[in-house]
Amino acid sequence: MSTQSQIAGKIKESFENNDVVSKSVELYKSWFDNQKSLADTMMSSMQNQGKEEMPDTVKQWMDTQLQAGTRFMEFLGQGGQQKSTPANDFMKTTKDWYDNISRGLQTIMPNNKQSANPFMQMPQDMGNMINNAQTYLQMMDMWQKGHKMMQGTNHSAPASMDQLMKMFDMNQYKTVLDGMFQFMTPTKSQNFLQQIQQYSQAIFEQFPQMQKGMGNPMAQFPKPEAFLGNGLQSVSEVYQNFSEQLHKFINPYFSAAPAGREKEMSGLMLQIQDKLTQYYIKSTEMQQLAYQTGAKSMEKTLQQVMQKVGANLDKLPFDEFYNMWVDTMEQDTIALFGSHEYASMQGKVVQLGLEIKSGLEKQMEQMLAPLPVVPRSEMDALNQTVHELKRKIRALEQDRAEQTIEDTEEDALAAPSNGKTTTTRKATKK
Amino acid sequence: MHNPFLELAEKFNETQQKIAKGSQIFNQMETIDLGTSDKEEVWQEDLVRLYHYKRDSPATIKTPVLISYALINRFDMMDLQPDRSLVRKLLSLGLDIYVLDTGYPTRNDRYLTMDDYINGYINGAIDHIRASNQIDKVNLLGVCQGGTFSTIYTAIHPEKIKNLITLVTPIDFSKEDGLLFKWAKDLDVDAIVAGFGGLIPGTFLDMGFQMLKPMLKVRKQRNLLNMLDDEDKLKNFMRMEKWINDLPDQAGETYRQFIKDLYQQNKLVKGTLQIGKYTVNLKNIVQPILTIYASEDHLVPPSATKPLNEAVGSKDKQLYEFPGGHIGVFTGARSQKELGPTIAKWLEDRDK
Repeated sequence: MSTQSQIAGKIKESFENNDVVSKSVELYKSWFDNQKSLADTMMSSMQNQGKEEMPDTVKQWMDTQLQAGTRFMEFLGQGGQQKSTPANDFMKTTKDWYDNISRGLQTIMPNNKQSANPFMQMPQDMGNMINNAQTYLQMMDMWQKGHKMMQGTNHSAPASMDQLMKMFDMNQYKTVLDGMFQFMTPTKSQNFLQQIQQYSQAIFEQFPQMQKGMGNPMAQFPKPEAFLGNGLQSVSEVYQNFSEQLHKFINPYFSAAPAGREKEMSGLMLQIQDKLTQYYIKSTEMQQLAYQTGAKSMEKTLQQVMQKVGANLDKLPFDEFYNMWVDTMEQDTIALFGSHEYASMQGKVVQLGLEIKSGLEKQMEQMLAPLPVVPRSEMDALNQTVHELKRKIRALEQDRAEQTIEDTEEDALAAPSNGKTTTTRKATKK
Repeated sequence: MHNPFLELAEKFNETQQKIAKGSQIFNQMETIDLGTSDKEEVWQEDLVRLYHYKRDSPATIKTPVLISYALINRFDMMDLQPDRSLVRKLLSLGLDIYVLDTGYPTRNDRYLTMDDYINGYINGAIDHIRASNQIDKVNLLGVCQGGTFSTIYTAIHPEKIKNLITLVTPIDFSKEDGLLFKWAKDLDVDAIVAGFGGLIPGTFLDMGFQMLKPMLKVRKQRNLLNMLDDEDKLKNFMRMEKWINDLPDQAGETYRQFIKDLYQQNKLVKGTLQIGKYTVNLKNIVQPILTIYASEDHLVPPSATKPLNEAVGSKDKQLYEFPGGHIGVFTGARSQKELGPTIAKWLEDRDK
């Protein structure tokens, strides 16, 4: 049986000899035998450890490997038939390959919850790894498209920045940044705004008499679609307009309505709605800053590419480009995070997010008030009392301990001893 | 000419091989243990525990050392794995070591204050060590936020501390060359404490640390793919990840005071910090002090650490620069070779 490195050598040789098609069956068999051997070893070692359920995981893993292998050998066949495989096919195969890696990584995460696999303790880490593999893949996709565009250009002539910038699909790059920073996509934004709108509608359902008298002010509020994609300014304007209208309608009610749970609940809803909208605007501003930084990083990276290889991108392996981008992006992002503008915006977003959470919790307590459950606020009050009592006990114990030491020292002065002090302990000695 | 197809074929084969081997290693791996040095619980109050590390032979440095770690992450960073353990190194050099484990606070603990930690738990642990060893004073070694607490404790109770060592400890919070210091100035702490219901999630605190090196995860996960077929490297990686992801929540009142009084108002250096019934005066610290800082520390920049030596009343004071970052102090090869022996020698010279 061939080792993996021997197989790699054979693949390389086949490319050089242009006989990939005729060799592909042989290569595939070697590759599969090798994978099977690894799987057999794995199964045998796990059975020895008594992990009876593991072979299913191995089977899944083998299936994934088989599918990937088949796709890869198909690709090799295409590559052999047409020496200049179009970039799109190449990318499709590359994508498949990375999908396969992601699946492979997911497969080795245990399905069996009783397994002691250490990845069980860090699912977030695993998820991040897969997400980051996707960042890598998306950047690779952009890079390959750039390659394709540069086909037929004069490699000896220096590339201009314009040429390089055009090579890269900035919309796709925005998707990379969205994934990295977990930003709001248009769909998420739309959902978010719809939630705000639903929330506001709920407020007015609380005040039917007002709706009768004044009509529905929500009708004057544009649908979210109206300002999605129109930039931040329109969002701010709409918010301001909406907020003014809302308060104009609500305020008379609040001054006239009697104090009570209904008024309190409505007030809370209004505050939450107000903060939700502010939160949306502030987080969008932060998003804009990060986009600007990302665009600047890409421009700087391409300047480095231009200085290094000009238009001849074949001379620059993708990994080198990727590392250039990661380094530049990191420097620029740290500078962004360190700016006062970003720091204050971040502080505001955190504050708003948490105020919304607090508001929702208060509402929840109001709703649960008629039920026989102890709300958190009452438990907190109890915990606070317990804490205060503990502090008082500790202070008394410490005073007593200090008094004991003073007494001991006085005794020691009266009758010299070995000079060692004693202390009292309030806690448990093991 | 660079052949992208050939590069892909080679990468494919190489990666498949790594995934296969990684899968084998993961499935054979049992649990990943940290903090494996043998120790026993000797004292406990509420959720806080004091552990005493076991020794094969009597300690050559007689005065015991209490390690006070930060409330963020866990103390087992000091004992990450047998060959990367500052604790093991110090034990091998003759120290008698205790460590304070502050546990995992719950919502019930939301009202715990800095006073509770400093004059309550640290003081309780120190009294236990003094009583059980029949001594007046112990050595105190504080790490990061634990170093700030240790410094405050020493200023309040100087009669109980023989020598003070601080590792990567923030003292002067007026500096702006660390992002955390800059961000904290704009935080509405009251809204944060209220919003989280009085218990600050460890993941929230960790988010700030992650933002200090925004592309770290991107790099790290790619490195993981490259080390999937190397069992030792993989295990080291997993240990570190386990530690990083072990994030206790923090009592809201402690967080509130730490951010407001220290990060925002720098009261410790100004001499206006109030802890319980005590106003903290750093000039009360007159015992020997060893201040260790990391030259490349992005969490606690040297400028925030070094002023301690100017602020205290001690005559015997030493600054020690460790070449590396915040975590490298505990886990790097240099930590074993240089830092451990430096601490042991410094304590030995003062163990009279």
